[in-house]
Amino acid sequence: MIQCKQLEESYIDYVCDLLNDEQVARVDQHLRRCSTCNRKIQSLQKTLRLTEEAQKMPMPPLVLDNIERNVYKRLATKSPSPKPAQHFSKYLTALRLFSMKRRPVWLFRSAIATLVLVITVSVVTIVVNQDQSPDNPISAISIQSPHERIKLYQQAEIQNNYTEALETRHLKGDDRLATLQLLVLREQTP
Amino acid sequence: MDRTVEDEILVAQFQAGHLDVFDDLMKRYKGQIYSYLLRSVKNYEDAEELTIEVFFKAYRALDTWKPQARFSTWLYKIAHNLSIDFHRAKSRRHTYSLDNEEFVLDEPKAVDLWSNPEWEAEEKDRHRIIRDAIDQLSPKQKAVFMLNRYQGLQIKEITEILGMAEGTVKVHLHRAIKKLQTLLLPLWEKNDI
Repeated sequence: MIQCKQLEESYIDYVCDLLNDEQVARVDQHLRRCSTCNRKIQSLQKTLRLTEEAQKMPMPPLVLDNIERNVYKRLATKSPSPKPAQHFSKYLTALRLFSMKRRPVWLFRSAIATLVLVITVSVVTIVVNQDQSPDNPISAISIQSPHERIKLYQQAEIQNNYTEALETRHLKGDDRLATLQLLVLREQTP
Repeated sequence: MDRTVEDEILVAQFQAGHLDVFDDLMKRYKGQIYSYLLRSVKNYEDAEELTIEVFFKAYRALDTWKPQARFSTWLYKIAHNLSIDFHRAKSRRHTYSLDNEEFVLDEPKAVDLWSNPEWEAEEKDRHRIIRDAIDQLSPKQKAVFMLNRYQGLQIKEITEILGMAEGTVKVHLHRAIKKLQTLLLPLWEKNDI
Protein backbone atom coordinates (compact mmCIF):
# COMPACT_ATOMS: atom_id res chain seq x y z
CA MET A 1 0.00 0.00 0.00
CA ILE A 2 2.78 2.40 0.89
CA GLN A 3 4.45 1.53 -2.34
CA CYS A 4 1.18 2.19 -4.22
CA LYS A 5 1.06 5.73 -2.86
CA GLN A 6 4.73 6.29 -3.59
CA LEU A 7 4.45 5.06 -7.16
CA GLU A 8 1.08 6.61 -7.97
CA GLU A 9 2.76 9.99 -8.56
CA SER A 10 4.73 8.49 -11.40
CA TYR A 11 1.87 6.71 -13.22
CA ILE A 12 1.18 9.62 -15.57
CA ASP A 13 4.87 9.85 -16.40
CA TYR A 14 4.81 6.09 -16.96
CA VAL A 15 1.98 6.19 -19.51
CA CYS A 16 3.54 9.24 -21.19
CA ASP A 17 6.96 7.51 -21.51
CA LEU A 18 8.68 10.08 -19.35
CA LEU A 19 10.40 7.67 -16.95
CA ASN A 20 13.90 6.28 -17.30
CA ASP A 21 14.51 2.51 -17.65
CA GLU A 22 15.09 1.97 -13.93
CA GLN A 23 11.88 3.75 -12.97
CA VAL A 24 9.91 1.86 -15.60
CA ALA A 25 11.24 -1.45 -14.30
CA ARG A 26 10.20 -0.52 -10.75
CA VAL A 27 6.65 0.33 -11.84
CA ASP A 28 6.39 -2.82 -13.98
CA GLN A 29 7.45 -4.93 -11.02
CA HIS A 30 4.77 -3.35 -8.82
CA LEU A 31 2.06 -3.67 -11.49
CA ARG A 32 2.70 -7.43 -11.70
CA ARG A 33 1.51 -7.70 -8.09
CA CYS A 34 -1.05 -4.90 -7.68
CA SER A 35 -4.37 -5.11 -9.56
CA THR A 36 -5.60 -1.78 -8.15
CA CYS A 37 -2.65 0.09 -9.62
CA ASN A 38 -3.08 -1.88 -12.82
CA ARG A 39 -6.63 -0.54 -13.15
CA LYS A 40 -5.36 3.00 -12.57
CA ILE A 41 -2.79 2.62 -15.32
CA GLN A 42 -5.40 1.19 -17.70
CA SER A 43 -7.71 4.11 -16.95
CA LEU A 44 -4.96 6.56 -17.86
CA GLN A 45 -4.09 4.65 -21.01
CA LYS A 46 -7.74 4.63 -22.12
CA THR A 47 -7.93 8.40 -21.61
CA LEU A 48 -4.87 8.95 -23.76
CA ARG A 49 -6.16 6.58 -26.45
CA LEU A 50 -9.37 8.59 -26.63
CA THR A 51 -7.51 11.88 -27.03
CA GLU A 52 -5.42 10.31 -29.78
CA GLU A 53 -8.62 9.46 -31.67
CA ALA A 54 -9.35 13.16 -32.00
CA GLN A 55 -5.79 13.90 -33.06
CA LYS A 56 -6.33 13.43 -36.78
CA MET A 57 -7.26 16.72 -38.42
CA PRO A 58 -8.84 16.96 -41.88
CA MET A 59 -6.61 19.27 -43.89
CA PRO A 60 -7.85 21.20 -46.95
CA PRO A 61 -6.05 20.16 -50.14
CA LEU A 62 -3.26 22.40 -51.46
CA VAL A 63 -3.16 24.38 -48.20
CA LEU A 64 0.50 23.58 -47.64
CA ASP A 65 1.39 24.69 -51.20
CA ASN A 66 -0.55 27.91 -50.64
CA ILE A 67 1.39 28.56 -47.47
CA GLU A 68 4.71 28.29 -49.25
CA ARG A 69 3.68 30.59 -52.09
CA ASN A 70 2.18 33.20 -49.79
CA VAL A 71 5.25 33.32 -47.57
CA TYR A 72 7.34 34.44 -50.55
CA LYS A 73 4.67 36.89 -51.68
CA ARG A 74 4.67 38.48 -48.27
CA LEU A 75 8.46 38.65 -48.23
CA ALA A 76 8.36 40.39 -51.60
CA THR A 77 5.85 43.06 -50.60
CA LYS A 78 7.45 43.78 -47.25
CA SER A 79 11.08 43.72 -48.36
CA PRO A 80 12.95 46.94 -47.46
CA SER A 81 13.49 49.32 -50.44
CA PRO A 82 17.03 49.50 -51.85
CA LYS A 83 17.46 53.15 -50.87
CA PRO A 84 16.63 54.65 -47.49
CA ALA A 85 13.15 56.20 -47.23
CA GLN A 86 14.42 59.60 -46.11
CA HIS A 87 15.73 60.32 -49.62
CA PHE A 88 12.16 60.56 -50.84
CA SER A 89 11.36 63.29 -48.33
CA LYS A 90 14.35 65.29 -49.65
CA TYR A 91 13.01 65.00 -53.20
CA LEU A 92 9.57 66.03 -52.02
CA THR A 93 10.93 69.08 -50.17
CA ALA A 94 13.05 70.07 -53.19
CA LEU A 95 10.06 69.72 -55.49
CA ARG A 96 7.88 71.84 -53.22
CA LEU A 97 10.49 74.58 -52.95
CA PHE A 98 11.08 74.50 -56.70
CA SER A 99 7.39 74.79 -57.48
CA MET A 100 6.89 77.57 -54.91
CA LYS A 101 9.52 79.86 -56.46
CA ARG A 102 8.60 81.96 -59.48
CA ARG A 103 10.19 80.08 -62.35
CA PRO A 104 9.24 79.70 -65.99
CA VAL A 105 6.65 76.99 -66.47
CA TRP A 106 8.57 75.52 -69.40
CA LEU A 107 11.55 74.77 -67.11
CA PHE A 108 9.36 72.85 -64.68
CA ARG A 109 7.70 70.85 -67.44
CA SER A 110 10.96 69.95 -69.14
CA ALA A 111 12.38 68.70 -65.81
CA ILE A 112 9.40 66.42 -65.38
CA ALA A 113 9.64 65.21 -68.96
CA THR A 114 13.30 64.27 -68.42
CA LEU A 115 12.40 62.40 -65.26
CA VAL A 116 9.61 60.50 -66.97
CA LEU A 117 11.96 59.55 -69.78
CA VAL A 118 14.52 58.11 -67.36
CA ILE A 119 11.86 56.10 -65.53
CA THR A 120 10.33 54.84 -68.77
CA VAL A 121 13.68 53.47 -69.89
CA SER A 122 14.09 51.69 -66.52
CA VAL A 123 10.64 50.15 -66.65
CA VAL A 124 11.03 49.01 -70.27
CA THR A 125 14.20 47.22 -69.21
CA ILE A 126 12.26 45.45 -66.47
CA VAL A 127 9.45 44.50 -68.91
CA VAL A 128 11.97 43.12 -71.42
CA ASN A 129 13.51 40.97 -68.69
CA GLN A 130 10.08 39.70 -67.72
CA ASP A 131 9.36 38.74 -71.37
CA GLN A 132 12.37 36.46 -71.32
CA SER A 133 10.93 34.44 -68.50
CA PRO A 134 9.11 31.14 -69.25
CA ASP A 135 5.58 31.34 -70.73
CA ASN A 136 3.84 29.88 -67.75
CA PRO A 137 4.41 32.27 -64.84
CA ILE A 138 3.08 29.80 -62.30
CA SER A 139 5.48 27.02 -63.29
CA ALA A 140 8.27 29.60 -63.50
CA ILE A 141 7.61 30.61 -59.94
CA SER A 142 7.47 27.03 -58.79
CA ILE A 143 10.88 26.10 -60.21
CA GLN A 144 12.69 29.29 -59.27
CA SER A 145 14.64 29.80 -56.07
CA PRO A 146 13.09 31.76 -53.18
CA HIS A 147 15.31 34.77 -53.95
CA GLU A 148 14.20 34.83 -57.57
CA ARG A 149 10.59 34.50 -56.56
CA ILE A 150 10.86 37.45 -54.20
CA LYS A 151 12.43 39.52 -57.00
CA LEU A 152 9.64 38.57 -59.39
CA TYR A 153 6.95 39.72 -56.98
CA GLN A 154 8.86 42.98 -56.37
CA GLN A 155 9.02 43.70 -60.11
CA ALA A 156 5.29 43.07 -60.46
CA GLU A 157 4.70 45.55 -57.64
CA ILE A 158 6.87 48.17 -59.40
CA GLN A 159 4.97 47.67 -62.66
CA ASN A 160 1.65 48.16 -60.86
CA ASN A 161 2.92 51.40 -59.29
CA TYR A 162 4.13 52.71 -62.65
CA THR A 163 0.77 52.00 -64.28
CA GLU A 164 -0.99 53.78 -61.42
CA ALA A 165 1.29 56.83 -61.82
CA LEU A 166 0.56 57.09 -65.54
CA GLU A 167 -3.18 56.81 -64.88
CA THR A 168 -2.91 59.61 -62.33
CA ARG A 169 -1.22 61.81 -64.91
CA HIS A 170 -3.37 61.12 -67.97
CA LEU A 171 -6.74 60.27 -66.54
CA LYS A 172 -6.83 62.54 -63.50
CA GLY A 173 -4.66 65.31 -65.00
CA ASP A 174 -2.71 65.59 -61.78
CA ASP A 175 0.86 66.27 -62.93
CA ARG A 176 2.18 66.96 -59.51
CA LEU A 177 0.88 63.79 -57.89
CA ALA A 178 2.02 61.74 -60.86
CA THR A 179 5.53 63.18 -60.48
CA LEU A 180 5.62 62.23 -56.82
CA GLN A 181 4.47 58.70 -57.61
CA LEU A 182 7.12 58.37 -60.27
CA LEU A 183 9.77 59.55 -57.81
CA VAL A 184 8.74 56.79 -55.39
CA LEU A 185 8.84 54.32 -58.27
CA ARG A 186 12.36 55.43 -59.16
CA GLU A 187 13.50 54.67 -55.61
CA GLN A 188 11.94 51.22 -55.73
CA THR A 189 13.54 50.30 -59.04
CA PRO A 190 16.78 48.42 -58.33
CA MET B 1 21.97 11.99 -39.88
CA ASP B 2 20.07 13.38 -36.88
CA ARG B 3 17.29 15.74 -37.95
CA THR B 4 18.47 18.43 -35.55
CA VAL B 5 21.94 18.36 -37.08
CA GLU B 6 20.46 18.51 -40.58
CA ASP B 7 18.45 21.59 -39.59
CA GLU B 8 21.54 23.29 -38.21
CA ILE B 9 23.44 22.59 -41.42
CA LEU B 10 20.63 24.07 -43.50
CA VAL B 11 20.45 27.15 -41.30
CA ALA B 12 24.21 27.60 -41.55
CA GLN B 13 23.93 27.41 -45.34
CA PHE B 14 21.16 30.00 -45.26
CA GLN B 15 23.27 32.30 -43.10
CA ALA B 16 26.15 31.84 -45.55
CA GLY B 17 23.94 33.22 -48.30
CA HIS B 18 22.29 30.12 -49.82
CA LEU B 19 18.77 31.39 -49.37
CA ASP B 20 17.32 28.49 -51.41
CA VAL B 21 17.64 26.16 -48.42
CA PHE B 22 14.77 27.97 -46.73
CA ASP B 23 12.54 25.94 -49.05
CA ASP B 24 13.79 22.72 -47.47
CA LEU B 25 13.27 24.03 -43.96
CA MET B 26 9.76 25.18 -44.78
CA LYS B 27 8.85 21.84 -46.40
CA ARG B 28 9.98 20.02 -43.28
CA TYR B 29 7.93 21.94 -40.77
CA LYS B 30 5.01 23.65 -42.46
CA GLY B 31 2.74 20.64 -41.89
CA GLN B 32 3.55 20.38 -38.20
CA ILE B 33 3.23 24.10 -37.57
CA TYR B 34 -0.03 24.29 -39.51
CA SER B 35 -1.57 21.35 -37.61
CA TYR B 36 -0.51 22.86 -34.27
CA LEU B 37 -2.03 26.23 -35.13
CA LEU B 38 -5.15 24.58 -36.54
CA ARG B 39 -5.73 22.83 -33.22
CA SER B 40 -5.10 26.07 -31.40
CA VAL B 41 -7.33 28.46 -33.39
CA LYS B 42 -9.78 25.86 -34.82
CA ASN B 43 -10.24 27.69 -38.11
CA TYR B 44 -8.62 26.79 -41.44
CA GLU B 45 -8.14 30.33 -42.72
CA ASP B 46 -6.72 31.70 -39.48
CA ALA B 47 -4.39 28.72 -39.14
CA GLU B 48 -3.13 29.24 -42.69
CA GLU B 49 -2.60 32.95 -42.10
CA LEU B 50 -0.73 32.35 -38.87
CA THR B 51 1.44 29.66 -40.45
CA ILE B 52 2.43 32.09 -43.21
CA GLU B 53 3.29 34.63 -40.51
CA VAL B 54 5.45 32.06 -38.67
CA PHE B 55 7.62 31.38 -41.70
CA PHE B 56 7.68 35.03 -42.69
CA LYS B 57 9.09 35.91 -39.26
CA ALA B 58 11.44 32.93 -39.36
CA TYR B 59 12.89 34.01 -42.73
CA ARG B 60 13.44 37.55 -41.44
CA ALA B 61 15.10 36.43 -38.22
CA LEU B 62 17.05 33.41 -39.49
CA ASP B 63 20.23 35.40 -40.06
CA THR B 64 20.62 35.89 -36.33
CA TRP B 65 19.47 32.42 -35.18
CA LYS B 66 21.95 30.55 -33.01
CA PRO B 67 21.83 26.81 -32.26
CA GLN B 68 21.11 27.24 -28.56
CA ALA B 69 17.86 25.38 -29.07
CA ARG B 70 16.55 23.21 -31.86
CA PHE B 71 15.34 24.95 -34.99
CA SER B 72 11.97 23.19 -34.65
CA THR B 73 11.66 24.41 -31.06
CA TRP B 74 12.30 27.96 -32.23
CA LEU B 75 9.58 27.64 -34.89
CA TYR B 76 7.10 26.29 -32.38
CA LYS B 77 7.91 29.18 -30.06
CA ILE B 78 7.06 31.68 -32.81
CA ALA B 79 3.86 29.74 -33.55
CA HIS B 80 2.88 29.60 -29.89
CA ASN B 81 3.42 33.33 -29.40
CA LEU B 82 1.37 34.12 -32.50
CA SER B 83 -1.47 31.91 -31.30
CA ILE B 84 -1.45 33.69 -27.92
CA ASP B 85 -1.65 37.07 -29.69
CA PHE B 86 -4.47 35.72 -31.85
CA HIS B 87 -6.51 34.57 -28.86
CA ARG B 88 -5.92 37.87 -27.05
CA ALA B 89 -7.07 39.87 -30.05
CA LYS B 90 -10.10 37.61 -30.41
CA SER B 91 -11.10 38.01 -26.77
CA ARG B 92 -10.66 41.81 -27.02
CA ARG B 93 -13.06 41.87 -29.99
CA HIS B 94 -15.59 39.86 -28.00
CA THR B 95 -15.18 42.03 -24.89
CA TYR B 96 -15.51 45.28 -26.81
CA SER B 97 -18.62 44.15 -28.59
CA LEU B 98 -20.28 43.34 -25.28
CA ASP B 99 -19.72 46.94 -24.14
CA ASN B 100 -20.66 48.62 -27.37
CA GLU B 101 -23.79 47.44 -29.08
CA GLU B 102 -22.84 49.13 -32.37
CA PHE B 103 -20.14 46.52 -33.00
CA VAL B 104 -21.00 43.06 -34.16
CA LEU B 105 -19.21 39.97 -32.93
CA ASP B 106 -17.09 38.18 -35.50
CA GLU B 107 -19.30 35.62 -37.16
CA PRO B 108 -17.90 32.08 -37.17
CA LYS B 109 -16.24 31.43 -40.48
CA ALA B 110 -17.81 28.94 -42.86
CA VAL B 111 -14.77 26.67 -42.80
CA ASP B 112 -14.83 25.91 -39.10
CA LEU B 113 -12.97 22.80 -38.12
CA TRP B 114 -15.98 20.74 -37.18
CA SER B 115 -18.07 21.48 -40.24
CA ASN B 116 -16.28 18.96 -42.46
CA PRO B 117 -19.11 17.09 -44.23
CA GLU B 118 -16.98 14.03 -44.87
CA TRP B 119 -17.09 12.84 -41.30
CA GLU B 120 -19.60 10.30 -40.09
CA ALA B 121 -22.10 11.90 -37.74
CA GLU B 122 -21.27 9.63 -34.84
CA GLU B 123 -17.56 10.05 -35.29
CA LYS B 124 -18.02 13.82 -35.39
CA ASP B 125 -20.02 13.71 -32.20
CA ARG B 126 -17.45 11.59 -30.41
CA HIS B 127 -14.55 13.74 -31.55
CA ARG B 128 -16.47 16.85 -30.61
CA ILE B 129 -16.87 15.53 -27.06
CA ILE B 130 -13.15 14.82 -26.86
CA ARG B 131 -12.20 18.22 -28.26
CA ASP B 132 -14.66 19.94 -25.92
CA ALA B 133 -12.95 18.19 -23.03
CA ILE B 134 -9.54 19.40 -24.22
CA ASP B 135 -10.94 22.92 -24.56
CA GLN B 136 -11.89 22.85 -20.90
CA LEU B 137 -8.24 22.66 -19.91
CA SER B 138 -6.57 25.89 -18.86
CA PRO B 139 -4.55 27.57 -21.67
CA LYS B 140 -1.23 26.39 -20.22
CA GLN B 141 -2.47 22.84 -19.60
CA LYS B 142 -3.85 22.72 -23.13
CA ALA B 143 -0.63 24.05 -24.66
CA VAL B 144 1.53 21.54 -22.77
CA PHE B 145 -0.84 18.66 -23.56
CA MET B 146 -1.05 19.44 -27.30
CA LEU B 147 2.68 19.97 -27.69
CA ASN B 148 3.51 16.71 -25.90
CA ARG B 149 0.74 14.39 -27.05
CA TYR B 150 -0.14 15.76 -30.50
CA GLN B 151 3.06 17.36 -31.71
CA GLY B 152 5.26 14.72 -30.03
CA LEU B 153 7.62 17.18 -28.40
CA GLN B 154 9.78 16.28 -25.40
CA ILE B 155 9.40 18.01 -22.04
CA LYS B 156 12.70 19.86 -22.51
CA GLU B 157 11.53 21.32 -25.82
CA ILE B 158 8.23 22.37 -24.29
CA THR B 159 10.09 24.21 -21.50
CA GLU B 160 11.92 26.25 -24.16
CA ILE B 161 8.80 26.96 -26.18
CA LEU B 162 6.63 28.02 -23.28
CA GLY B 163 9.36 29.55 -21.12
CA MET B 164 8.56 27.34 -18.12
CA ALA B 165 10.62 25.18 -15.81
CA GLU B 166 10.59 21.43 -16.42
CA GLY B 167 8.74 20.77 -13.18
CA THR B 168 6.04 23.30 -14.12
CA VAL B 169 5.54 21.67 -17.51
CA LYS B 170 5.13 18.27 -15.88
CA VAL B 171 2.65 19.66 -13.37
CA HIS B 172 0.55 21.11 -16.18
CA LEU B 173 0.70 17.83 -18.09
CA HIS B 174 -0.35 15.84 -15.04
CA ARG B 175 -3.25 18.15 -14.29
CA ALA B 176 -4.35 18.10 -17.92
CA ILE B 177 -4.44 14.32 -18.08
CA LYS B 178 -6.20 13.96 -14.73
CA LYS B 179 -8.85 16.45 -15.80
CA LEU B 180 -9.33 14.69 -19.13
CA GLN B 181 -9.61 11.38 -17.32
CA THR B 182 -12.56 12.75 -15.34
CA LEU B 183 -14.20 14.46 -18.32
CA LEU B 184 -13.85 11.49 -20.67
CA LEU B 185 -14.78 8.77 -18.17
CA PRO B 186 -18.41 8.52 -19.41
CA LEU B 187 -17.16 8.16 -22.97
CA TRP B 188 -14.79 5.29 -22.46
CA GLU B 189 -17.09 3.53 -20.06
CA LYS B 190 -19.82 3.62 -22.71
CA ASN B 191 -17.54 2.30 -25.48
CA ASP B 192 -15.14 -0.34 -24.29
CA ILE B 193 -11.81 1.15 -25.44
